Amino acid sequence: MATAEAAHHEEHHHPSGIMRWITTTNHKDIGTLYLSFSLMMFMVGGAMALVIRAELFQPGLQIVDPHFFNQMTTMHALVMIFGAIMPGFVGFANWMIPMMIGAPDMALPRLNNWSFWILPFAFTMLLGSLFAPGGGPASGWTLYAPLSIQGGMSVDMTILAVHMMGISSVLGAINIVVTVFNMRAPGMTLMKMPLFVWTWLITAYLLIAVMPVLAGAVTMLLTDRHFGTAFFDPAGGGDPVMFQHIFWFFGHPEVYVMILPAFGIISEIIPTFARKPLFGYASMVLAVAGIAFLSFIVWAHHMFTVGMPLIGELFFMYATMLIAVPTGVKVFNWVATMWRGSMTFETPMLFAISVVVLFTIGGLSGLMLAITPADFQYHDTYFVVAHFHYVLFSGAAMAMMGGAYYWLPKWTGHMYDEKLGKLHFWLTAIFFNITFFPQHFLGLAGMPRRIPDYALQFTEFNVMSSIGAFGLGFSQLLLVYVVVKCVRGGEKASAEVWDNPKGLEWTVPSPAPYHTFETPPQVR
Amino acid sequence: MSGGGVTDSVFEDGFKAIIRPNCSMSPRGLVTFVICLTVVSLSIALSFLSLGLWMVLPFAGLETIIVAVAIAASVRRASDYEMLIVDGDEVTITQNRGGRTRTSKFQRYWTQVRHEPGATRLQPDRLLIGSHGRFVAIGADLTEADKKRFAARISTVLRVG
Repeated sequence: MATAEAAHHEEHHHPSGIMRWITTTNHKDIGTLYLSFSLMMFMVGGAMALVIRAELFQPGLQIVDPHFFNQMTTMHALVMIFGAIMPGFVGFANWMIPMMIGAPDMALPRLNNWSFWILPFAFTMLLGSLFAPGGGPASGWTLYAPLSIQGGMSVDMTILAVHMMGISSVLGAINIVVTVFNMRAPGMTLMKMPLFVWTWLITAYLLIAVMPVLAGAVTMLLTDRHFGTAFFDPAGGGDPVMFQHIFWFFGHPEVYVMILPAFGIISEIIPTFARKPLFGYASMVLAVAGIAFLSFIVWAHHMFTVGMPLIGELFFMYATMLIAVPTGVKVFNWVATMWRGSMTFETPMLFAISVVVLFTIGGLSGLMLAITPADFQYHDTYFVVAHFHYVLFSGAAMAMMGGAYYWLPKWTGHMYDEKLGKLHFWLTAIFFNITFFPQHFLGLAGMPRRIPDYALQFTEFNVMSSIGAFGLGFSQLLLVYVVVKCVRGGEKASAEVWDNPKGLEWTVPSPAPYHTFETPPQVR
Repeated sequence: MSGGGVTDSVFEDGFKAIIRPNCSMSPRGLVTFVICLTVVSLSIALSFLSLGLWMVLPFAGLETIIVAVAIAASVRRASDYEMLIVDGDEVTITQNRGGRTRTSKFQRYWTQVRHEPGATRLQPDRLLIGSHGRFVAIGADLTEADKKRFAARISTVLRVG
């Protein structure tokens, strides 16, 4: 025990300018950093998608060579998954979870700062690999062996970048779990938490469970490449199919890491604009937990064609189809929440409704892919590309856009431009469908994915898809404009922003004060 | 489960207030959580080990250690407190942060209470208690409004004496 001899009239030196953002431990600052980074990566990944679609506008090779085309498909996926979607959701979690549970900040603020600042280095490494001798990684985001074992130096850079992204994700997930468990306001029991917090808690569990698997898989790839091991290298007696198993044991839960927080966001938006409480809250929580559990036992549906035993195919087929049950519960509950609600259609609600409709299309095409004999036909075709874009773009990305419009007034203190927001929504929804709906037909007709050239009979649908892609890409500049305009000014937002929304975040002024809930509010 | 905030009590010729951070889960609950997580994570890693893919195990082990350290850091916060005692002519402030305790004593009749707004929007208000140029900042776990209320309460208590 020490006695204070000297004056403790210490000054709190808060850095300004760039140093504020580098050293910040405030959850709102870090949330802003994550969201800005996500938007930036969304644009980078989108530009890569436009390279792909420009090449596919016509049959034949016009713009890029096949090797660069493969680099673009690989990098587009890695950037969108690890750079845009995951950090985007972590940004939402940082901003909203402490405010939603009545906590002053995240439980481990310095760790939070570190989790974010690993990312720019990871992506410098990843994007820098495009300039490595022999070009960037070209084996697809799944890094399947033995192709990735044969790749150039860029594969090593990618492996290191994946490790860094993994560390960032795991540290972020640990922080979220500890915050939710230990920093809830008095009275905020687990079953009173907003659904967004629940979905993130379960997502964080998934991340903590599967990230070591990814780290182990890519490290074994690295040792196969450079240290003479043969985990996956058939030349040394290794098993490349085992890489697919281990990758998808990580990869399938990862799919839910990217969609569960989206479910959480729209579960916040729909009740506000339907002016009704969320229908079946407890069943929503159980459905999310059920989806998370099932995500661990369905991984091999990504690899039905490798030649697994019939009993394995049957197990993974039925287990995958089972996921439709909790997902159906969620869709039913969202629709039931809107049923006879006093609905209005502001931009966040438009995005939320489109997520319900379009994600359901993606879910149904997923059910088609779950049927093993049908998957033999669809596997590695454009049908799969259409399916996962309906899940990840119109599910995850559009939910994030809706969430951004929903909470932007709370973040900035200004209302966004509703007219431009609605224009952005309609352009996005229409161009999205022009881009990806024809890809179902291309896949069903047999056009393989990850090819820079195709047979003439696929031309019309590819032209449509490419026109849609450019429309979709350029529409997103409108999102950037609306966000920047809202940050810079606009009509002053009230604390509640919307018509009587529920949740602790709406009890604080807009913009949310830099320090909120240092003393926890009482939740009844 | 600790609710956090200020709890105060008045006794004969004195006053005592304790400020604690909010902790919504008991240390036992958090330990149970770590054990559950470890069982799941290590089961997955050991399954892969049985297939010869041993490199998952070190990462799972490392992650488990990080989770345990993070939980320990969060649990340690539950024992943090700030205690202000006004007893007779003496004001004693005891601050316990991360297991380190610091005590400051002031003469009651010279003690001043200052509520200073943050210099910028990014800085929280500060509640300072002390005298003769020696001040202690307390109430980091309080909101700006509660700092103001607490400052008024302490000023009243000091004047009444």
